[in-house]
Amino acid sequence: MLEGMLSVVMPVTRSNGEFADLFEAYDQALSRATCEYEWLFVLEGDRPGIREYLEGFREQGHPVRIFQLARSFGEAAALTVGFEHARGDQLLTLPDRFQVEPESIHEILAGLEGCDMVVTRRWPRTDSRFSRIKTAVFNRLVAFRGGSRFHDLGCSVRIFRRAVAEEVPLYGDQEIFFPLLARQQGFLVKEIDLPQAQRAPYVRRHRFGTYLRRFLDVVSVWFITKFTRKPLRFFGVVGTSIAALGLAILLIIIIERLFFGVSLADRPALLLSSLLVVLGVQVVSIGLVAELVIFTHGRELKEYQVREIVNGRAKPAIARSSPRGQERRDSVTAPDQFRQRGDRIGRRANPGKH
Amino acid sequence: MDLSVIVPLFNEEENVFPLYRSIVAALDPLAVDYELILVDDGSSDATVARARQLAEQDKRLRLIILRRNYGQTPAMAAGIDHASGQILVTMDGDLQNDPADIPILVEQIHAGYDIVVGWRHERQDKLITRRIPSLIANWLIGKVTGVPIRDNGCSLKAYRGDVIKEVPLYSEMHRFIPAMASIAGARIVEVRVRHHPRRFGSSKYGLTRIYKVLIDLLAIETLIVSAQRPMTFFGTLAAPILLLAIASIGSSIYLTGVADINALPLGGMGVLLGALVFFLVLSGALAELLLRIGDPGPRRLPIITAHQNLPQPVLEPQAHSGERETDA
Repeated sequence: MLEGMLSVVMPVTRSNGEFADLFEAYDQALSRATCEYEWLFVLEGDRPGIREYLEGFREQGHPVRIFQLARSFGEAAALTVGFEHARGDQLLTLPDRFQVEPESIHEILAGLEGCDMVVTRRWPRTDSRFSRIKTAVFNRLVAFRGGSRFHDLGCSVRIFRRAVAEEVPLYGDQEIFFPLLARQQGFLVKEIDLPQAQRAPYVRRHRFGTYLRRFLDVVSVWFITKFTRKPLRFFGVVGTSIAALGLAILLIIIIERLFFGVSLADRPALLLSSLLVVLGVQVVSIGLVAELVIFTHGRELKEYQVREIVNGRAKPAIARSSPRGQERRDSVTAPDQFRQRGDRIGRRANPGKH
Repeated sequence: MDLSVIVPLFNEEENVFPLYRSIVAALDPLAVDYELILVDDGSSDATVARARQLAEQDKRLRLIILRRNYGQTPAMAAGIDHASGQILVTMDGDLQNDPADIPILVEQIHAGYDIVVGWRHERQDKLITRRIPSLIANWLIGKVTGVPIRDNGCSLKAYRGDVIKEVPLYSEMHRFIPAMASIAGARIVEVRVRHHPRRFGSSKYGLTRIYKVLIDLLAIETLIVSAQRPMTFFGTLAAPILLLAIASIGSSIYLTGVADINALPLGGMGVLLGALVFFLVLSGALAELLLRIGDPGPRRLPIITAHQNLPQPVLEPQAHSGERETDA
């Protein structure tokens, strides 16, 4: 089915009681698949019960590796740690809760044939109507300007080739947009339907702030996918329209002053118009500074991805992305404490407290 | 390697074989060591299959297949990055440029110029949709950048390899390469080249580019002025606003104090403009910081182009076009 080894990366963020069920269900399903695989668990902060449980499995000789982070750095950081250490040719990410039926996992493994990444859509759904509406609204919102054709970005059961993990940088809360960013890099991404898990659906409780943050994420991904190389096309349009509005108001009150004798100096509309002009100029100049950022780093931001070179050397004669690009990629991966393997680093106590 | 010819291809299946034949026919008599780099920009037709066929027969042909369609500039950047020639020539894959002009361009590089730009002086395109927008765009680009090139849109160009590899190439900047390079004192010359009507396939451009060109021009203008001294750029922008701010605050004080009119909004406007001046100066400081930590590549251009003792940049087309006139 799959050639080479499969690395399964699972970031463990939540301490829910059913972790053992989850692990065993997935492990059984994977062991029925006919390929070699390894587990990589990235524990975000202290997860004492889970950690001991997994250590036990490792001692029994199961292919389990455990990475302990000092605290939660977000799912993207946890995944990046897993990707760095994965040995497999294909990588499978799984969430630490039941999103799809573990028994159907072989379908996603089979789906990787002929493309670079397979993402899943939980379908048919078994959870509440509210969750379904949330999923639909969020994905429509992403699709609105970004042209995304994915129906369920929130489902993090995804399989992809090693190159995808190496070439798509993830940071912050961008884990959810991984398929979009991968497609932007030119990888072929396919979506398949898997039935949502029946057992004990994990109810995510979000505060209002989380939804607000999600919305801002959508805005930033829209910006990143559309305007990274041409920031002025975005800032320029916004800034000039604000300034134009301000100038229009200014024009009206100047005409009133000249032809109708309305005094100019004591009109609050004057303040409004100058405020708008000032704001417009500021937005445009932020755009200009952004252009400068891109200009000075333009050679590192390689815009194209090569699929194959016929009759060529493997490496470009002059790589626009190296050696500085190499540094950049290293710095994306993680602060130093991520790199420690296996041994636990607690949250550092503040020495000034005592 | 003396020469690399770079051709981006996007759905040009009919043109691949004739293109290859005419390039080989133009370059083989020259006795130079050359390579031909075809960059496939995510074509969906038989372009790749045909180019692959050619690559099997001719080891001088290198085929770079991109993952998806990225556009002309990234495709050219891919070719330039992978080229190993000392002189790089770029051209379109639609056979509207004539490979027989390549020797003339190369000759100008040998004469000491860093960039040679083709000028399609008898352009074979539709007047309304292609030539008039292009005339306007070229005039604007010339005005703004100070590099009055008649035909920025001509893909047939030759570069010194070490110069072009330092020029940032992204977005749709390929038409501004001469302007970008001229920031750093690159020597640019224009030569007349032949231009054929399209034989196969269809044009991949439209009128909508004009708006994008305008915004990109503003960006280029900033980059040209501010790449060396950003503080000066933002300071020049801020100076008239500062005068306006002082004037309105002054007249507000005068009106309120002497003429006894409530002129607070006018004073408020002055304060706002003063804040804008402050903001712009700080933007200049930020830009200074960015250039300091950024890629030194574009700033190294003056050093690369400086070491030859050569004629000053000439923007007039060279006079040696006698033979060109006859066969055009």
